[in-house]
Amino acid sequence: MNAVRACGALDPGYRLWIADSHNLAAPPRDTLSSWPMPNPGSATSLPADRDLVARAAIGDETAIAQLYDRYATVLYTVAYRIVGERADADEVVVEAFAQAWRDAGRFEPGRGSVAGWLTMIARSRALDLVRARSRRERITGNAAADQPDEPPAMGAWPGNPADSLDRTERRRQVLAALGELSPPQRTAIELAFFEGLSQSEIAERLNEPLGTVKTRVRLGMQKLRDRLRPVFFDQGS
Amino acid sequence: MSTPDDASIRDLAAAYALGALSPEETRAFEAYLAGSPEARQDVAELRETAALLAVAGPERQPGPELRQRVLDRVRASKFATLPATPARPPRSRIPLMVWAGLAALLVIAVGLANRVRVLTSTLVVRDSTIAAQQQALSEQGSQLAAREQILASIFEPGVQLVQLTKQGDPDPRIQLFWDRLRNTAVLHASKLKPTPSGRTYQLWFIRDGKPVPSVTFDVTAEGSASVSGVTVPTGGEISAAAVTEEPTGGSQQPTTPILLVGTAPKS
Repeated sequence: MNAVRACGALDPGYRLWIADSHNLAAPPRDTLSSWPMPNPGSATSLPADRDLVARAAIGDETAIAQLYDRYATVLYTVAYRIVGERADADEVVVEAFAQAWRDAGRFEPGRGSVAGWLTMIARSRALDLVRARSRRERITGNAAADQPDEPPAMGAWPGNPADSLDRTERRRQVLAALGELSPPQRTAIELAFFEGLSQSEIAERLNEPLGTVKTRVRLGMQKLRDRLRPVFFDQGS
Repeated sequence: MSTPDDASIRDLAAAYALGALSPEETRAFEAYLAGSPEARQDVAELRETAALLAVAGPERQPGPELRQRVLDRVRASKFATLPATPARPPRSRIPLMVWAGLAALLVIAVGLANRVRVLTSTLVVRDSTIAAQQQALSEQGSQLAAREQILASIFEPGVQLVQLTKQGDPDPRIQLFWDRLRNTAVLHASKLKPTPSGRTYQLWFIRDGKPVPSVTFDVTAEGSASVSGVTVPTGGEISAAAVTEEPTGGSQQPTTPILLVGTAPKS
């Protein structure tokens, strides 16, 4: 599991933070090339995510186009997972980028990655849509109306091969980390993230004591964090 | 030094990053965050962790047309509103509580703005209704003033009534209120047939046996007309008043037979 500690692709500030923290041995250097995340030390001419957000903030819509090319798949994946059908997932992605465009001036690089920011925007818009839908369904009484669509053909959008390698590897790491959680920890965290449930609602849903759910969320998230630090979305170079 | 309280509130970070706290817990935790850079760093990392959950499910590819939809939407909103603010130099640390307060204010402001927008459009509608009513009122007001003037001239001392009628038809009627002191008259017509286009009614005074041209007038669809301030010719004896139909603009001499006529009282 040393591979996941490879942090050469992270920005210097972040590396410093890791060096200050309590649990890290020096990362092995031989695995750096397996992380095709933007690398501030490399000669790549691709603009950093945070620069794209800064350009969006001053009204450059081509920056949104580039962010779309980088993260549309991630946003679409989370949107689809939450809303369960294509048309709504499309709507969520459009709304999420529109919000990113509006809020670009408020993005604070110190508080996380652009990809994380975009992802959390998409998640919120998707949860909003599901809540609005369930309100509508409560009113019209046709909760069973929406059947999930067939999955869209993989590869319908070519994207960037390097990005997709990055995504594949990151996804593998995330799944491996989730696999290390206890099933109840994983369930509690997934209910919170994908269904937008509060801890009390999770306790109610699972018929478990609230304190137990809180412990599962806390320990599970801490474990995931420790495990996933090396594959965090670009911290913004 | 951390206290047991600190520890228990710090435990909320993970659920906070997932948005899974109750509203009360969220407020308490944000108050704590405002004073703790370590906690903010903790939350930033836990948020990144949460964001990675997005890629855990089966990967879904957006359709190829979605990119254009996103860009169209962004371009459309570019014209509606430019992005909130241009890029700024890194901000000083502002406590989260302040942001929470600002966010709450923003929510209130947006609510108020919506309310104002609704009220404004209601007001615009009301304004136009009021304007229309004011115009109607002012029209009625000027009609009333005209009536008032007519009535006043009718009730002046020395006003005499000359009634013009049509032979063989009791309906059409013209009343001429003739102020003999001022040599003016007010004409009030009722139940006259509207004239064809290019034609008009003309009033004549018969002075010393000869017609003297006076005002022309048209009647409404109902056949009525009011003309005030009609000058009554002087310099001779007015024996009668008459009305003919003439080309628009009137004539110097009657070109058609008399339609209505009434004799004036002797002075």
